[in-house]
Amino acid sequence: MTRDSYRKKRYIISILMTFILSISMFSLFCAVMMYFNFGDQKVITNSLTESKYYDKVAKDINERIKEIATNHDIPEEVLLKVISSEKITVESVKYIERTLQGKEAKIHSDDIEDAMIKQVTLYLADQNVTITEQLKDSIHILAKECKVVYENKIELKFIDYYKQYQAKVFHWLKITIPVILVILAVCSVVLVRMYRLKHQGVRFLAYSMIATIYLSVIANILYKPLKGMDITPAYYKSFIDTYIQKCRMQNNILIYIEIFLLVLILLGIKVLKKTAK
Amino acid sequence: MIPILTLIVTSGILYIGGKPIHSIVLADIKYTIVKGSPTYHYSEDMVSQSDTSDGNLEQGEVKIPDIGIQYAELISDRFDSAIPIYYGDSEKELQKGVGQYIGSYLPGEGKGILIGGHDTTFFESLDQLQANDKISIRTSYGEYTYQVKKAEIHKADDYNAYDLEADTEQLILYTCYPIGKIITNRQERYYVYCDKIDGPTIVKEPTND
Repeated sequence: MTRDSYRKKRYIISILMTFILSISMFSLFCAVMMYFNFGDQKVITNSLTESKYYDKVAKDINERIKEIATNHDIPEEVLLKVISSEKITVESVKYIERTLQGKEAKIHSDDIEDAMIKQVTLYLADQNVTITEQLKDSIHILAKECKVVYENKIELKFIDYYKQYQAKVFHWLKITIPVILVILAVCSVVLVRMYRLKHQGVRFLAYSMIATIYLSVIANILYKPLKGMDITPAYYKSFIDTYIQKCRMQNNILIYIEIFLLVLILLGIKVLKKTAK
Repeated sequence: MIPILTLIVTSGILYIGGKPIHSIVLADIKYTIVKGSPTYHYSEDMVSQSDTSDGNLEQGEVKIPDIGIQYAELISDRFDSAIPIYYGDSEKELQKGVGQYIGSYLPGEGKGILIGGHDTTFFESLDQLQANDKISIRTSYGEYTYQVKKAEIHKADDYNAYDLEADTEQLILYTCYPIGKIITNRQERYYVYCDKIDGPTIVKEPTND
C-alpha cells in the first residue's frame, strides 16, 4: 500500500468515524435530555407551584359551583360550605403527589356528593320547604353535577401519562446509554490511535462535537410547537407551558456542557500540538 | 471543510430519517398533553337534563354546537379512554380530539354522522373495532349507542364510501390507512360503519304551511 493510498483510506475512515461519533453524541444528548425531562419529578411539582395550578383549580371549581347554585336557585354559600378552596387545594396536592409516587390516588367525590345532598336538604328544611319526590331528584342532580365538576377538575390524567412515559423512558435508557457510550469510546480510540500525531485524530472529535451542538440546538427549538398549543383550561395550559419552559432550560444547560467539552477538546488539541513539536 | 461536511451530512440524514418519526413523536406528545387535561374526559354540558323518557327530543331542545366546540364524547371498550368529539374537522379540532364533519347530522337526527380522527392519536385503535362491538356517543342531550356492522377501506376521494342522506341513522368513523404507518401521503381511508341501537330521536318541529 503506498503512503498516499494509506492516507486516503485513513481519511475516509476518519470521516466515517466522525459521522458515527456525531450521531452517537447527539443520541447521548437526547437520552440525557429524556432522563432529565421525565426522570426529575421536581420539574413537575415546581411547574405546578410556579403556575399556581392548585389555586387556579380551586378558583375554577368555585366558579362552577356558583353557577350550579345559581341554576338551581340555591345560595352559593350553601354549596361552598361543602367544597371550600382549602379542601380543593389539599385534595389536588394529595392526588398529584400520590400519583407521582406511584401510589393509588383516590378523589373523595362520593363524600362530596353525600355532603352536598345533606347540606341542601338541611338548607331547604330551614327554609320550611317541603321535600317532594321531584325536589329530591333535583337535589340529586345538583349533587351529581357538583361531584362531576369536583372529580374531573381535580383529576390530572397528564400525571398518569407522565408516569407511564417515565417507566418507558427509563427502560430504554438502561439499554441505549451503555451502547452509546461503548460506540463513543470505540470511535474515539480508533480516531486517536490512527494518527501518529494525536492532535490530528482529536480534531475529528472536535468536528463531531460541533455537529452535535448544532443538532442539540435544533432539537431544543423543536420543543417550541408544544408551547403554542391550544389547550384548555387556561390553568392547565399555563402548567404545561411552565413545564416545557423548564425542560428547555434543562436542555440549554446540556448544550452549555457540550460547548464546554468542545472548548476542552480544542484546548487539548492545542496542548497536543505543542507537545508534538 | 470537514466540520461543514459532517454538519451537512449528519443533518441531512437525521432530517430524512427523523422527520416522519419526529412528526409522529410530536403528535403523540400533543395527544398526551390534550388527553391529560382535566376537562378532556368531561364536557360540562354532559350531565343531561333533557327529559327523554318518551325516547324523543324536540328539535328546539337541541342546540347545534359552534364549530370548534366539544359537544360529545365517544366511548368504546376498544379505546383507552373516552374521546372528545368536536364539531368541525379541521386540523385545529383533530389535534384535540376527533372531529365531526359539519355537513353530517347530529346523533338522534336519523341520518349519517361522519366523524374523523388521526390514526397516530385518537383513532390509533380504530382497526381493533370488530363487528357487533358497541360504541356510545354521550352528548349533553342524551346518550346514543351504536353497534359496529362492518369496516371497509376506500380511497380518500371516494365519496360513495358513505351516504349521509340515507334514512337510517349510521355512525361512520374514519381515519387514514394504513393505520399507524410512517408514510406521509396516504391515499386510503379506513371506515367503520355502525348502526344506531339506542338513544333519543330528535323530532322535527312541524312547519306552518
